[in-house]
Amino acid sequence: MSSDLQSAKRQARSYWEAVDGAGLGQLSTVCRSHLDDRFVWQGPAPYTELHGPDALAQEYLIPLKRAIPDLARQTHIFMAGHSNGRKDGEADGAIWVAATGYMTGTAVDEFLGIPPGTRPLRIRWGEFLRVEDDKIVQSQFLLDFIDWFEQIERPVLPRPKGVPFIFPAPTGYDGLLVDPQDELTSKATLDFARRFIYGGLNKFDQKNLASMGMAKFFHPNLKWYGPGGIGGCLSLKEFEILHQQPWLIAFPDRRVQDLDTLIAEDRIVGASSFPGVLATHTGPYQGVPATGNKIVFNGIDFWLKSDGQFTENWVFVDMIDVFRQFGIDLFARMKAHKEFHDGK
Amino acid sequence: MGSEAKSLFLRVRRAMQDFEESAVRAALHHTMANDAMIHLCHPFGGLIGPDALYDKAYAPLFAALPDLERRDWIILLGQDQNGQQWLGAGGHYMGTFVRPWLDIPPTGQIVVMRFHEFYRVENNQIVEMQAIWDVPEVMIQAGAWPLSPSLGRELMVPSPATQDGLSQHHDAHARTVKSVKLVHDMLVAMKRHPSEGGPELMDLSRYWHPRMNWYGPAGIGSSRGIKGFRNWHQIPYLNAMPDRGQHSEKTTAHFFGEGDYVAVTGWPNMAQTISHPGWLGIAPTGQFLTMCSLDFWRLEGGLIRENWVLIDLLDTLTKVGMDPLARMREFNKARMGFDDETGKALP
Repeated sequence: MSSDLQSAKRQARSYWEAVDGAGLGQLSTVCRSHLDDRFVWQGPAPYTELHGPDALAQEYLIPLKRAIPDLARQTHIFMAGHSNGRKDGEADGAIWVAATGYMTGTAVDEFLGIPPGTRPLRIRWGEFLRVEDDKIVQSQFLLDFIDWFEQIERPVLPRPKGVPFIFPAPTGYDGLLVDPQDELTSKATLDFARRFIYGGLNKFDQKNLASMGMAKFFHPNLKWYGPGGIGGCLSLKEFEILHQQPWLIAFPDRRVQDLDTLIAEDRIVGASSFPGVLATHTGPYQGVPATGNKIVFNGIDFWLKSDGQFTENWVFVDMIDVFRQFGIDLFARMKAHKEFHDGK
Repeated sequence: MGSEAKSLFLRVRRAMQDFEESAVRAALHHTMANDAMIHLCHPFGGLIGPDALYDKAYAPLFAALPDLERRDWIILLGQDQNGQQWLGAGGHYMGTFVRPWLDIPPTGQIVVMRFHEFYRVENNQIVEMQAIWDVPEVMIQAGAWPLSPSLGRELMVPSPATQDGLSQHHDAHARTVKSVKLVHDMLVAMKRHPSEGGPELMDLSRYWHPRMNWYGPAGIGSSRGIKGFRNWHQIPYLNAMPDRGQHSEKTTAHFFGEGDYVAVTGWPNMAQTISHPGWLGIAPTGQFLTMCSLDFWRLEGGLIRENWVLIDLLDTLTKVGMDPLARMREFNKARMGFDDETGKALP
């Protein structure tokens, strides 16, 4: 089993290293040599899906690296596992490699209408790669655009209730699981994660936060690194008050579905699903009155378990896509700053 | 940018400090192009050149306040987003109100009137003027305001707390850019409410100091803190005109700054529909109106601490058929010194 994972990790590292080192003219070739022809990329809004290695190079990688020529990758967490993300516990066994961290660099040109600037950027990224027969066939990928907009002082959401710009590497733990890990520990971590998601989160009675029994799973000093627009919550109490309350007021019926992937290795858990959560927008959120719309959430999470509880949680939610479902274009809000500055 | 335009305008300020006709006319001729386009608030309207400005605006004011004095507490110079050079002046006219002005009954006592005046300068000459004089402020002091009372507090609006409104900050370019950007971003966020959602979207605490002062025009009044601003101005204002900020193609705005100060002018710079009740006692006429708001902001520690706002309220109210000067004349029919049929001041 673990040899599958090690081989998949090698595939993923080799792909990321090749992409990071490639010039604009080489990206198509690099993608074709590392990605299967069937490759599907599920990306952050305003992207949706890209099909095939060439599309990824042309539509995403080349425009991004043209805008940020000195783009470099910092990886905080790197892991792999066999997926077991269905509610009924029927593991699909697919092999996924997951990672998160920052991409750094300075934008010299526009990317998706985001203006360049002299400020060095730290762009949060999270990616899950599915490896089948030693080939990368699928990617689920998110960038934190809201956080990026905050860094260039074009905020599109009210000031986060949590603290902005906090997205560190794991505390007291080397998150880069390059080597094989103890399979029993990994299995225990995965079981704990499944009890947390399908036993805890989904038990919310729409009245009382305690109904989820979060205190069983989250350490009182939990560090919850929420996405741009929500911000970091640096204790369980902060998490409940600053994030979970407003979130559940807006989306009280939110439920975690069968996840596209849920993996664990050693004490790290990774989850990704496009979408992973379904909800109805029945309460106000970030100034937007309830629309009554059914909302799907694309998200990526990583958790670190220490001494029997989760102590850290790295969170991506595709907020651009969530607000799109409210009928609000956050990229247009970002561009409105620009038009204002241009005197339009 | 140099401060030549400030030196140029100093001549007008000095002449008006101890207002006297020949010196003021000479100063206006010295600084202003003969074909300068002048947008002055209701009831003065559009005027061309320094003589028209003197004859139509200053001469009647000077006749009513023979010891007229001008005092400036903000003088800003900067380039707007299109590279035009604008000078902004904020201050008060004051004097003893001994004869009727615009048929406002004189009080025989000191009277003050705030002004926000903007001058576009080209080749060391004023080529355009956009200005609001707070005429309702004089009406209120004369006990002659004929419409609904202000929600905010009517007070003699102060100069900047830091008393540095006349200081030169032309070399503080980086600070200026930062200040202008903050006010821009504040306005961008502000326009999200109510078109895209609730008041949280304005994210006011990101931009406004918790102890901010908002100095609104007479008829609206001043308020303190974000809550005061919301209660005494913004909530009723947006209730009545929820589409504000959605018709930017019909307006122009000239933004510029200097150091910790930012200013905007534009004639007009707002366009919106009075679709609901609640503002100034105006019934919802459904009229689409353009309006002028000429503003100054002062920043402190990256937040807006003071905001001076003048809106041409007489123009707005007259457009919706409420003409405060006309209604005041109705009262004047019973006042000594006024014609009992027209309410106009007797010669």
